Amino acid sequence: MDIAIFALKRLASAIVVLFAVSVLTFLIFFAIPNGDPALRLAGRTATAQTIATVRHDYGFDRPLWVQYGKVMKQILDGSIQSYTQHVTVFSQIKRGLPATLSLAIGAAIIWLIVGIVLGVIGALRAGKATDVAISTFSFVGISAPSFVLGSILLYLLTYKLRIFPPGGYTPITQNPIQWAEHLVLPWVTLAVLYIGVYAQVLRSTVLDAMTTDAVRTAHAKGLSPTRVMIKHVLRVSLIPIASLWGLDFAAVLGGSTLVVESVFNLNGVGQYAADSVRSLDVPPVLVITLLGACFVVLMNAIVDVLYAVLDPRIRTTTS
Amino acid sequence: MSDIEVFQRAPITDEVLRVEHLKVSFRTERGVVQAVDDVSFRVGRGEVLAIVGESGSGKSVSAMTLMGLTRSPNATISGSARLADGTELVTASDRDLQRVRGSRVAMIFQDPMSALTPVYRVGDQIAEQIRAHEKVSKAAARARAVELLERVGIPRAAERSRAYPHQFSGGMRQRVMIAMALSCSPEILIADEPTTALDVTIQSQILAEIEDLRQETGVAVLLITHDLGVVAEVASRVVVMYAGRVVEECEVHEIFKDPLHPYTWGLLGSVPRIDKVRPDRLPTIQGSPPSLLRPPSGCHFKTRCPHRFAECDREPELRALEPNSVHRDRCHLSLQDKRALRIVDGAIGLPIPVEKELS
Repeated sequence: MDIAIFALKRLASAIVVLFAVSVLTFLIFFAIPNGDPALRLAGRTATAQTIATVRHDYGFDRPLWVQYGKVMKQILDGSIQSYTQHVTVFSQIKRGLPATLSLAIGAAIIWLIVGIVLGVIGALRAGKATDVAISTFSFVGISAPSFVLGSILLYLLTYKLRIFPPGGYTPITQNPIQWAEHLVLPWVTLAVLYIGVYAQVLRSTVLDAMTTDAVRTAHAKGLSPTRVMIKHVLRVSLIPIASLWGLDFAAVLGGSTLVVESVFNLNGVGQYAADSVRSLDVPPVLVITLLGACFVVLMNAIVDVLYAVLDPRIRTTTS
Repeated sequence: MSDIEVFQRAPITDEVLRVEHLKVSFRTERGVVQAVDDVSFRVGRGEVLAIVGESGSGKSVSAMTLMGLTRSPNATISGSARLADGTELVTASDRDLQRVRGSRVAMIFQDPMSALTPVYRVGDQIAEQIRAHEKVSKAAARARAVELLERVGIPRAAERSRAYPHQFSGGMRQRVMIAMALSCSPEILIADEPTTALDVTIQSQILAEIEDLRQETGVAVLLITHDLGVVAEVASRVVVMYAGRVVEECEVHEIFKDPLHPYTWGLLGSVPRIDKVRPDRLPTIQGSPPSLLRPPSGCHFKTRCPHRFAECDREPELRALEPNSVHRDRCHLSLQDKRALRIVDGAIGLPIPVEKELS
């Protein structure tokens, strides 16, 4: 019963969040100067008469809430169209999704594994040169903007050393090797920031865990240092990392791929969003933002469940 | 007089642990802290030896050192701690020590609330220790864990063994710790303030449990405590520590009947007594323990001792004041002086406020 109430509460708050996101995104475009979509739809050489006709046909002269309602209805039945290209938004998103998912999932796996390895090494070598090197790398990674890092990698490794192919995306179904070759640099560019964050977070949670009473007990039991480290230190330290990972993955898929996709010309959903923003094309931006928000809300729920699975203390307080 | 000589006179015939000249120091940013300064004691088979002292006296560090838990790059450990068969704990390799921990020397800690790993079932945590030392199947180890939990008085042990630590009360968790400690039939159980974090009613239950198991299994208990009430309840012999050193060692009845060291008198004086009119303020030992970075020369207690005299600048030895006695203390006062000075208001202990001056 408690779980049902909990789920209902989550659902209600998710709906509120999504509603707020949709309203805000919708309104932003009316606050932007030169945002009038009728001007763009009517074309460069349109007369005032044409513009007025377009405005009336598209309903841009109706009250905002009516326009909002119409747009939302079109989003829900999937018929919403771009203002600039006469195609449905969802078909465009579907086209870009493989690239975006390949980028986000690959990067998330890389930053999780590398972040954990560096974090653990940093904790085990705390204060030594290795630790200092990892920390330095982490902070450089955290502070380097992805468009700078991506451009540098692209310049050095693609144009100078010609190790990787220039930007673009090859579907994995077409050629897995080319798929990976095209994605290595975007993955690294996107992952470096999170590797730095995870390495530092894990380093400190591991260092904290190593001095707990429970770990002292584990040593006193006569367990091997490796077993103590894996079963009693890491197992506990990874709980916050697991939830962090879920939320960061959602955030990346909900928007952070945008810059990297543009730098490497991956033609993914992020790049579609960026192009749409540039041309003040409201429908794609609205849909992509809402999808991102949906995904963040969903991942939040998954993380909550994951937390309960990983930490028995949460389990008893929620059930 | 060497410690060895005293040991030979002592009545303990069958000892499970002999600690000699144990020294533990830690390098810190502010200097070297001599946490344990030449400590020697023995634990006989099946006895309860209590090490008494306040925070910072080195009692816990001594105990943890036996388990190798103080080993670290900035710790220096010397001296010797040998088990009955001659196994040396101080110089043992990490690997050898790992085999001893939990199987021959087991330990329970002060705070049962945090001593278990929160994410595993208690039965599995006990089974983990059994399987670290014996080649048994997971199922067999789990079954033994249930038996152990039953033995330490946990109701519905089979069911409770599948519960997580946070689902137990403090007292029950300490029982789990005891079950775990005894899972491989150790020769010595080190109990580091096992009841300090518990309610008073639970305290005596846990002490009774330890005492029952000692009688049942013959395990020797090294009990670390600051609580003389606990000492009176379960210990057979007492070692009093102050500022890293042993200041008094005797049979348990003597510490209450004939305490020889002024520090012990202070400890005894600060215990509330139900057979006396309670004073407005409980007597305390004036001042605070010396910094172990730079302890006073000579007697470490002299800065707080109301009975200090010129001689105290010279370091006193741990010695027996009467021939053939196992009662030893580290103080320059003569036996006659001690017996006269320690009586305050008809009881043993220091008066409040301390204003006594001598010589």
